[in-house]
Amino acid sequence: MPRQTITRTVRLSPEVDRELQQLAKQERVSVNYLVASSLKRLTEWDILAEKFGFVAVPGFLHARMYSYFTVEQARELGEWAAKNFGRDFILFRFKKLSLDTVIEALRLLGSRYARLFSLEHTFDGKAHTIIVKHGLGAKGSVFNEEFLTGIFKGLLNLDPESERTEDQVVIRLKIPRETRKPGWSETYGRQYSERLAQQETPFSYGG
Amino acid sequence: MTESLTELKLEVEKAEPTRVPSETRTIRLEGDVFPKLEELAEQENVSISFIINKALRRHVEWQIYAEKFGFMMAFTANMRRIFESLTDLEARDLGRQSAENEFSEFINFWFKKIDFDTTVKALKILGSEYARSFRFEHSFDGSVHTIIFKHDRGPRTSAFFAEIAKVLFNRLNLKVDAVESDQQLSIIVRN
Repeated sequence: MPRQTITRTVRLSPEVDRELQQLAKQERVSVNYLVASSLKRLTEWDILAEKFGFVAVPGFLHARMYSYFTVEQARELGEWAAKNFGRDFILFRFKKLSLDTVIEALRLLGSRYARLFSLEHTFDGKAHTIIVKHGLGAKGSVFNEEFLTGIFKGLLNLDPESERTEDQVVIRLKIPRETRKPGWSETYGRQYSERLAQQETPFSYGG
Repeated sequence: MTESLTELKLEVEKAEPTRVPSETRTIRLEGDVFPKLEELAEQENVSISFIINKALRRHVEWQIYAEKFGFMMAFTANMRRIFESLTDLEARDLGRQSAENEFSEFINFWFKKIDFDTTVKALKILGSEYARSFRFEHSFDGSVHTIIFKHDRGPRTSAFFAEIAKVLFNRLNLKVDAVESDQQLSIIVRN
């Protein structure tokens, strides 16, 4: 089914219009692409981020912060973040806690809007594999491992297996057959890839 | 009498609104974006044009550069918790290291040179509605500059920003006096 689009005429300030034209030329994209991606971002992320209380931080500064922690501090912070930030953010954005909303929230946090990490998610029919590449070093890995396992274990009562290296955490979730929602995973992956394919311009999750 | 004068004045203003120069542009958007923008405009009691211009200004003034520089989003309560986990000495050390590295890189990346004006402008950007790292106030009485960082994230955050300010302004041969409180840092910069 073709994706529905709406065409509208809008009034822009000359200054903004001029800067958009320059930017479009530099980036070799159309002005419409810049306008559409900016407004999409506003509706999908910016309003939410402002209301929920996100702030912008240079990525390297974030990595430097973790270097001051002990492993135990990083673990405690990850556990705290899952119980507080994780739960609150999922409820604030999606109004309910479920595997679907947890994975959607992680996608959003790994999107080019939030850039907390890069996320890869696959489902082979039996287990979900979630890979989080964060670039925060060893203590950042401890934090993210605790954050992710805390979300799946503490909020969803699932039993995740985890592995971590310096810059990456891998979570494997085996979903018991009786607790699986019929058709969720099978349709989810297809719909998502179709959605990506239908977009006029490439949009990728992850930094 | 007073009421009728007010009404008359409003009528005149309605009839001759101030014309703001603008360019019209036809844009194509995915189906669900416009309804969301309309909803937002209604909630905030502003025009959809205002919302669109604000979003596009944010894009050209902030997002494009922030993405290139490698800014990421952090939840403010997480940041508070991170700073609370540090000792005072660690928070100050982190501030000094960050000023010498990330914050200097940020000023250079954005403005291509480091001087007093670009340093203040960079802090203003970090305190803007785009980055929201803190709320920024700057005043100049003819002899000293007073800069306020209102962050609401505890004493370690004040210590962190105090060291950043000292490193950034001291290297321009300026003196910095800092007053730290739990939720805010005030600095006075003088020659």
